[in-house]
Amino acid sequence: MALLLAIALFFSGAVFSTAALGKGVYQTAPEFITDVFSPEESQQEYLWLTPELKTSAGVIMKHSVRGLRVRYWRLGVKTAWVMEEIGKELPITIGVVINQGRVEQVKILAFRESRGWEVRYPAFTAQYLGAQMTPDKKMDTHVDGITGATLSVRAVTKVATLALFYHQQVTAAQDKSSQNKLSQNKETSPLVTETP
Amino acid sequence: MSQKLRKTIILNLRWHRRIGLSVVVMVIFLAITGLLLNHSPSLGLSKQSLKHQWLMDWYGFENDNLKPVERHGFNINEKWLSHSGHTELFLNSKPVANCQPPLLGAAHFQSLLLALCQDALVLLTPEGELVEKLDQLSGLPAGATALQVADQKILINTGNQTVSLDIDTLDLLPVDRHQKGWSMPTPLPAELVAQLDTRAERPGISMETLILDLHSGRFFGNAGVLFVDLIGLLVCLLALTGLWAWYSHNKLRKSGG
Repeated sequence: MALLLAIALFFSGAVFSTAALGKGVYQTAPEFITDVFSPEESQQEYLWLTPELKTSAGVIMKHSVRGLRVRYWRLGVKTAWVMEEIGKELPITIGVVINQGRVEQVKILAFRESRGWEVRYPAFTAQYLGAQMTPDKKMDTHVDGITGATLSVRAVTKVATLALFYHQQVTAAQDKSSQNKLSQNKETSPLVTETP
Repeated sequence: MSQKLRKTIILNLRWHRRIGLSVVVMVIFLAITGLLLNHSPSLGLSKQSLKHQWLMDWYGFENDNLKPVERHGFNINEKWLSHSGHTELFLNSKPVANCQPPLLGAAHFQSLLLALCQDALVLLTPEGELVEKLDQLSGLPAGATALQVADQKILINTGNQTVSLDIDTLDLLPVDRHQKGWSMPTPLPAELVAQLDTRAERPGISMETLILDLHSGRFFGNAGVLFVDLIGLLVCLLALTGLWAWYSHNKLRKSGG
């Protein structure tokens, strides 16, 4: 009996201590951005959410998206996003880096709930690497779930998909503006040619 | 031997029946609640909030959820920013954002309204639309206690020092001289308090919590937990007496009894 009790206490202690280890702030947004870009390199910008963008973002997130602007950091075709999504009851803060339309990094910056913190492991987040967005605004990569962390996995997947969508919007806007510049230059200078 | 075994079998079956009958209702109840808990995410049980007064009383929630301190707010350009005391930030009587109480300060900056909550600086349009929420993870200084706008700068007091915050770049610069004129809460107009009272979010118990507490017996306190423990032990006993009935019946048949 005493042996059984000792075993039970050992396992309950192990479970509680592991759960306590899982919760917390692992990295702040500025630290994450410094890791991704050199501070001098990246440019901080905003994506203003028009009603159309909000509608599309709402479809991806499966709930309405609050806020008029989303902050992001950018260097060329690489963007970094820090966003929050509720796992079960509390928000998970997630950093996502997109490079040329593909997920380059997913990192859990803060996890506040007592269950589902396993999503922070690099072995899990590595599944998102290289993922792209399909035309129907879904991620083209299948992500294996974690038993007991279904809601956290869903939250991370939704945020990664939203980052891909936002990245598409900001790069499309840049492409459009560079095309406009190019056509303006073509009108003024016949030497400028459009790159393939 | 056969006679003795027969007696044991009868006694075992009698107790098997008695135990089975005594736990039947609870086993069905535990099975149903267990199934519901297993499928809680897909059924959305955690999002269903129960606010019946008897349930609130049972869980020990106070009837009046608005504490006196939350009846204060910040008057910015004839608009009132206040906090419900739970999660909602109000502009006049409209809920505009979620942040942690208390509301520590509010100010008008360029074309934005700023509200400093315990956990975040909330940026709103004058109409109350959320622009952005800056928290400590984004770079808001820890331990912020007060807010003001002076010389076109957003100043935040952290207790030890005053810093100016650039909401576009999130740069923080220490401000040397001690600043006065921090935004201070004032009592809300009675009319607005009445409006907020009707809109105020009431705390609730999620359906999942209720089912979990019923399943574990915790809903009825320690006695409930012990009762569910007892049911668990009786179910184990039921399984053992069932197993013994099967085994002894086979043994009796083989011995030709």
